[in-house]
Amino acid sequence: MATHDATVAFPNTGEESLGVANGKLGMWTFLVMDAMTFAGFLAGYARLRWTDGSNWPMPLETFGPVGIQLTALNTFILICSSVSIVHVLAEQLRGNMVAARKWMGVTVLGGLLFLGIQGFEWTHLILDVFPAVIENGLNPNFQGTFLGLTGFHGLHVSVGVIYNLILYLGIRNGKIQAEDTSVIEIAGLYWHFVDLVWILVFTFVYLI
Amino acid sequence: MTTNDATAATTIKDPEGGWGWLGIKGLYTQYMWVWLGLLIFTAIEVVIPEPATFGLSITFSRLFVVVSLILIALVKTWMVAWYYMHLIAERPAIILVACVPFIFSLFLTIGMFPWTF
Repeated sequence: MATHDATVAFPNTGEESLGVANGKLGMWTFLVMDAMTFAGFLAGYARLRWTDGSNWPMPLETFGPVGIQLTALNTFILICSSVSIVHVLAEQLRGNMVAARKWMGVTVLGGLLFLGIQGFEWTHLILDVFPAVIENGLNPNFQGTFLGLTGFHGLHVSVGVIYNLILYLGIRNGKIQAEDTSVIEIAGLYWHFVDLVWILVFTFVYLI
Repeated sequence: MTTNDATAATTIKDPEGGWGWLGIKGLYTQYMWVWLGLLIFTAIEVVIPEPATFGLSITFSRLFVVVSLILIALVKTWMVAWYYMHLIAERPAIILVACVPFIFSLFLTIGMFPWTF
C-alpha cells in the first residue's frame, strides 16, 4: 500500500497517534469542528431561505451578473492560492526552499487579494444593495446570513493569511527547513479547508 | 519542530519527478491538472444560472440549476480534499475523520430543511 511504503521511506520521527503526526491530527480535529460550525451556518441558511413565504431575494438578481463574476474571480484567486500552497510543500520536499518561499509569498498575496475584493464587495453591498432589499420589503435575513457566512469565512482567510505570513518569515529566516514538511502540510490543510468551504459558500449563497 | 510526515511524501513519492506541467518547469503536473479542473468547474458554475449573460440562448430549469450546482460544488470540494489535502494518500482513520462533518451536515440540513413544498 502506498501509504505504508511512504512510511517506511519517510519514517515519522515526531510524536504520533493513529500513525499520524500529532500536529496533523490536531489540525484535522480542529477542521472537523470548524466544518460542523459552517454546516450549522449553511443548514440555518437553508432553513431561513426555503421556509414558505420567506420572501427571499434571488441572489443572482440582487448581486447582479457583475457581482457574481467578481465573486467568481475571488473564487479563482482562492483556488490559485490553494495550488500555490501545495507547491510550497512540493518544493520543500525536493529541498528547494527558495522556490517554496516564493510560492508561500504568492499564497499570502492571494489571500490578501481575496480579502481586498471581499472588502470592496461588502462596502458596495452595505451601502447600495442591502438598503434596497429592505426598502422592497424582502427578507432582511438575507443580509444577516450573507454577512454571517461570508464574514465568518473572511475571518478564516484573515487567520490563514497571518498563519502563512508567519511561515513565510520562518522559511526566509531559515527556521523552517526542508525536513520540516509537517509544518507546511498542516498549514496547507487549513488553507485548503478555507478554499473548500468557500466553494460551498459561493454555490449556496451566490449561485443558487 | 516536527519533521518528515508520511502523507506529504506519499503524494510526491519522487520529489524530483512529476514536474513540468505543459512544459513549464516549476509547476507540479498533478496539482496543476486539478487546478485546471477546478477552474473549468468554476466557469461552468457561473454560466449555468445565467447562460444569457454569456451569449448563450439556452435556459435551464430551476431544478437542473440547483442540482447541477450542488453536484459541481461537491465534486470540487472532493477534488480539493482528495488531492490538495492529500486524502488520496491518507490513512483510512483520517479519511473517516474527514467524512464526519459531511455526514453531520447532511443530517443537519435534512433535519432543519422546511419540507413544506
